[in-house]
Amino acid sequence: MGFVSRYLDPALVEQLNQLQLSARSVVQGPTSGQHRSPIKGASVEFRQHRFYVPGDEPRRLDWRVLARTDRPYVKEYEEETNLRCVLMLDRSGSMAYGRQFGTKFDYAARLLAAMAYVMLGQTESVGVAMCGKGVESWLAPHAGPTQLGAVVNALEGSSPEGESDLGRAMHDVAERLERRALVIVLSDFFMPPEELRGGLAHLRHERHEVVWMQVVDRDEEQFPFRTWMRFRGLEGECGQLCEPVVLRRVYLEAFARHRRIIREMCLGLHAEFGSYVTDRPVLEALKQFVGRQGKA
Amino acid sequence: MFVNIYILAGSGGAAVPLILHLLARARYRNVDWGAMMFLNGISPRQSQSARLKQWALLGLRMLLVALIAVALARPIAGARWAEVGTEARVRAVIILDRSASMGLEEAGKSRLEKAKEAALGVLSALRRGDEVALVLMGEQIEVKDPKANLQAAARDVSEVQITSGSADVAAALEEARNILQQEGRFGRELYLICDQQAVSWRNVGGRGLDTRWLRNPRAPVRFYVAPVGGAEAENVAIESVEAADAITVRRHPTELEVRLRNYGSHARTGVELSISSNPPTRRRPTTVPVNLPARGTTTVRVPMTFDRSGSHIVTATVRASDLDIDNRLDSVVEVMEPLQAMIVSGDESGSELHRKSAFLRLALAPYQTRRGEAGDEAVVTVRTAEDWGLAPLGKYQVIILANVQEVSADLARALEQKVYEGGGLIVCPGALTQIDEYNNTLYRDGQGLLPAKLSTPVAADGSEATTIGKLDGNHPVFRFRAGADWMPDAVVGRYFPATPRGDAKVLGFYDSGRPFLIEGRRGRGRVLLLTTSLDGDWSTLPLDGSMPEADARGRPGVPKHPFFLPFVQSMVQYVCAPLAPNRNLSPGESLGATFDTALASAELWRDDQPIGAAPIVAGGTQVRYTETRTPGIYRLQVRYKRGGTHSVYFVVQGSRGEPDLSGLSAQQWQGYQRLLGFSRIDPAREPIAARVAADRGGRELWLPLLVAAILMAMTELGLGRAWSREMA
Repeated sequence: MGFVSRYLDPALVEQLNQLQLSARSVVQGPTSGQHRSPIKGASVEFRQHRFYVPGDEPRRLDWRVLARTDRPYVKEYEEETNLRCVLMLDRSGSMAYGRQFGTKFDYAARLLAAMAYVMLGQTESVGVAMCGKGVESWLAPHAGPTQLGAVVNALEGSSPEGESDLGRAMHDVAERLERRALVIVLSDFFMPPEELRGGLAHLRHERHEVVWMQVVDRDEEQFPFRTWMRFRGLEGECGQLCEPVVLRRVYLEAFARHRRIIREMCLGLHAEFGSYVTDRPVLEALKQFVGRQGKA
Repeated sequence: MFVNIYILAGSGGAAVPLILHLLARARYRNVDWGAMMFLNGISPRQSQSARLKQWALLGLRMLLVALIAVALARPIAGARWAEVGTEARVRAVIILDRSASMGLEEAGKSRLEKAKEAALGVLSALRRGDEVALVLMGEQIEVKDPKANLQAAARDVSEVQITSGSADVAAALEEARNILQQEGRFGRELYLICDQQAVSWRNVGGRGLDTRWLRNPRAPVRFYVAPVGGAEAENVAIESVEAADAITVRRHPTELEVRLRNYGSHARTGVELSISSNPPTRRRPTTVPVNLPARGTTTVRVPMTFDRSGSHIVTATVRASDLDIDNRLDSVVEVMEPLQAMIVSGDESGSELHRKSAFLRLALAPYQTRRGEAGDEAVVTVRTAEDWGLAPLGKYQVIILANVQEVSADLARALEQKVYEGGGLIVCPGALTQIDEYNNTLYRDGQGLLPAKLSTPVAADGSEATTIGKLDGNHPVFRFRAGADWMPDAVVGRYFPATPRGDAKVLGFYDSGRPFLIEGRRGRGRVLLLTTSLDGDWSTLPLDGSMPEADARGRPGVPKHPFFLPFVQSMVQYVCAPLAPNRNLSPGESLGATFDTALASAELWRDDQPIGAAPIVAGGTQVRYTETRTPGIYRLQVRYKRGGTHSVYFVVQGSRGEPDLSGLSAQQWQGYQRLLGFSRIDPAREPIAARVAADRGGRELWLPLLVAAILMAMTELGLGRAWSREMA
């Protein structure tokens, strides 16, 4: 059993209590929560007026508007429901890099834990999928006070190693989810974009809301090395001895190009993409994530 | 060239970036990297491009280090010698030619004036703190030690005067070496300002001259040669002026021989030669036109009669538009009182012409005999063989034994002493001569005065008569023949065959091949031995056989080639010549004079400028002075203790090598340039100051190199960043 405090710093928790997470699009959840539901119920929040058409229920007529305007309008309502979220964490070898601020995996894990904490506090369902060459461990989404511990245990039991096949993992998750959910993928996405496209498309086809959170180290983003280095692949790739300053430009071009491609891919499939550097505090990253939703 | 050449070794630091590169490459760090896809995805072209950029950056870094090292070494562009930068102190030696040839005027300006201008140009290129020394070439080399006062040096240059001697470049270079090889940290510069005269360089290239110091890289010398004047070689010079006779006697007609030389390649005609004398002679100064062959000599004989005894300065001057200094030559002719000659006659009986001394006396003192107005060469005293031993021999300068029978041992010793002291002896044996006595007392197996052993005379019947067949025309005794090849017509009926001793010299031969006239020397004196008598008994010599026939009216003709009289006079002059004082000296030759009475004082002047007192030696009757290095006319004025003064003149003649103005050929210039490593400047075309300043300073390149290094560093930085720039 892992320590929650390892992933959720008490000071961080204080701040997280102020945060609310919501889904942009309408998702289905088993309980009433803060998220929009495509099922319009009776005790739900008024949404809008619509002109009466034959077949509408008379009880839905707005008599006050009729009295004022002599025209028949019916009320439509939104049913608030709870969020169902799956947090996918890439535990491939590349996530093990980290020079000054801990590994990307640790950062992503803390970010995952923070999001899980917030959402569980909002009585939302949170699940975790640890991804390697596929989904290597699955924690089905549940709400409740014990789910946080399960999340922490799932994190504790994993360490970054081996190759990754995130595309396949996303396919797995799409298959496992019976209902629409918010799928947040935390990874560095250091793989050919075409391998990710299929998984993303599958999730979107199932009408899941997908958020890709790219977690990178500042070194990977800026490639600041000057002296001769032998780069050894964390996922078993061939090492390379080189003078980084000479290859820096080419590297950065490739890095930026890759990021652009996956960003465009996300946009094209109506997914969200955000890049997070491990030297920024987790809370800041969360706020960035929440900010894209227009609600803090 | 570099100011700090040793710093140039720092350019080896250019290898440091490479070494660091290799070390860094060898000491790489390992990093476990997650984003390998971005490294492994680099194409071969990109990789090669990256490698090229890597090497380019490395090359830039290496070049940068080398550039900084070169800049710190302070290279100088345009400077021809190392070790001298714009700030180094300079020690300069200026060798200035002041020899006689520098007096030649060309285009209204003498070569020396041009040389001074060039020297002042050198001085103007020097800066405060620099030192300059002067080495003046000429009759003697004069060195003015290095001084920092450039104005004083300029004054020294301005005061340089022409000297009569010739320049010696080799000797001057040795002096310059002594100055420039002194310890000290300074730039060394050497300037040789001279004309193009080849004779000045005669000793350069010889074994004695060490030229390695001019090419010593540890103490480099900037050496410039600035020849002034043209390569003109046309020059006429007076080579010598001297009396034709060995002895010049008061009022006795003589001749001056003046030899002129034309150094030019064109013959010269009608060159005016003037002869004058001081004190003046009765005759006005003589001017004669002289024709000179190209590159040849001409000897002119000018008749002269001196009325007074003593020193006479004879000046020969030639009017020619070339080097002035050799157009005049002074010479001292010491005119003596008539010689005191004693003729010892073997027989004075009989008529005048039968006396054994008759013809000799006539020849030596024709005017005394005839009571003429002109001067006789000698005052002749005739003694018989019996009483001549009673006469003191001291007063006579020459003794002539005319057919004397014998000479006693005492008289032989007295004669010997006389000859050893410089007196002259002429022996004319004849019919009365006892050869055994002569051989015993005067020849003495070759140890005596007689230069040859006499044998029994040839037959008296004339069967072995002969004529004079050969005479040594180069000998002073026969100078009166002026190089002609005629022989006297005299018939010699009898003569003594003679065997000359080893050191004797035969001056004339009979046709029979036997000696006619033999010379011997003993001590300072000279002895002449004739092998026949001069009294007419055995030959017709006294009658002067070259007598023309009488004309149609019976009037006696004029002898075409008089022989006997000039021959006798010439013999007497020759044997008395050692007694003639030497008044024409070479530089450094001792100046001396002997007087009959004691001297109270002796003063010397040179060219009318007082020198000071001259040392009196030898009991107060002699003066000897040795500081005669400077050419000129010296006047020795003595005051006798008994009262009265007397002046004696001397001429110290300078080197006569300067008249040859032939210049160095182009090949010779090249040869010397290779040997000595100098740069040649033509002051007429190129201001020497500007050339020196440009060569000395050159252009220091440290600043542009440093700027280039900074730019290179910035380029390296910029390229490095540009090649690893982050894409937006």
